[in-house]
Amino acid sequence: MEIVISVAVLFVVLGLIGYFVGVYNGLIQVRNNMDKAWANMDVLLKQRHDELPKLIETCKGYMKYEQTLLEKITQARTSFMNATSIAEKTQAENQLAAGLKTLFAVSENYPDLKANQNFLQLQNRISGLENEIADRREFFNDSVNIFNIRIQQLPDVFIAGSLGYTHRPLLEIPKEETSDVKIQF
Amino acid sequence: MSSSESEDKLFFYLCLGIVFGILGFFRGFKIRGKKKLIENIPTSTVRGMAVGLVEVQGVAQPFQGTQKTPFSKVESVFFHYKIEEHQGSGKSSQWVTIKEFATPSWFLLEDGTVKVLINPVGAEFYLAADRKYQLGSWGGGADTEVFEQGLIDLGISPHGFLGFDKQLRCVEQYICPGDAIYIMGEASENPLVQGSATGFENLCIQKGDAPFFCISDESEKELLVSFCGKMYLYLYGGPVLTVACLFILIGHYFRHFF
Repeated sequence: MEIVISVAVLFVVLGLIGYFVGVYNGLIQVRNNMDKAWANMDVLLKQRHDELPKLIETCKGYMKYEQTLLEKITQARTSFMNATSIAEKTQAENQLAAGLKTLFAVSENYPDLKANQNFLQLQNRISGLENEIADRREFFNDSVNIFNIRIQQLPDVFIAGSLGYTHRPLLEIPKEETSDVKIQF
Repeated sequence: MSSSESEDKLFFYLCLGIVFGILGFFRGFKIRGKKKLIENIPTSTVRGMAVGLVEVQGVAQPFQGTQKTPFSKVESVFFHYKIEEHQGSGKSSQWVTIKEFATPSWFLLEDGTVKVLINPVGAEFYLAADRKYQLGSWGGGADTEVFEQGLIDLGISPHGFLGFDKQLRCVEQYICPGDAIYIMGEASENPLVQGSATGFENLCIQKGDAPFFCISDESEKELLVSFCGKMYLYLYGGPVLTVACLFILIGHYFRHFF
């Protein structure tokens, strides 16, 4: 009878070890998924930044009265390049996105610029990248959300605490971008 | 059957139970790993997909045309069938797979953003049985002729000795254009498109180095529920089976040793 009890105890011990190994591996996985999601978004952000000097150069010749806007975009680009933390990068990225949005809106007032093939090509490329960035941003936020939930759940919270995992912020869109647009006729 | 023979059989089944219990226990952990993988990876849009393990949901679309399923003659982008024959007699009879096939043809998945190519080779399929056919003494019902014709087309005779119907059964699963599907697999280099300016066009989903590649016509939630059920069954059922078999084995055969 002792053998049967020993086997039952062995199963319980193996089950517990397996369970905690699973929890530990799961936490490592969600953490790496989150870092990978950020890195994948960063790749696209860099690709877009590489297109910006060409865009500004093209616009400069046509938009003589929009120098402040072009400078603002250049500054945001530089801030992004110098940013080290995710929070800093997010802030610079939001400024840049807002600047580009305004630039494309203002370009409607410059028919010569709108007819420029180079500009149209860059606009399409940047808009395409914007869509991909938006998707990856959503994916990153999902990854962060899964991570934040996991590190607060029982029993993951104990292992997460010993690994030094803490709550991560989501990439949030600034309020001015989500507020209603006032249309006047 | 003599008493010695039945004792031998009982001994054999108890040993088998112990082994299956242990294997089931470890299988439970394997299923748990897959379940956690699905839970830990968020669903990505095809447009935002990056290289590596991805989870996508959308509708199936044909890549180079559709193909007719062998029995139901339904236009599909993918189909799988398994034909089994009942062999032997009495207690030793069993269902033996005589033919199984899954189409290796590529198809597309569209999720409202863009489309991505899917290479189904090497995938684990979690598809509902779309059609079931049966032939023989269990009866075939209304679809007997359809099943017989399908078997003849595949070069399998539905008739056995003296022209009697064989005991055959078949399960047919298929994905039709427009069917909602869930896929987890590795996004890797698309061999058909290279050097596209848009990153997602350079990718396709396939087995690659992915620890888990599955194609399902169930939603993520339904798949998780099914995995959860299996996981508990194996994780708890396995040890219970082993301990119970061991208990009977010792009580019945080795009582005098303890």
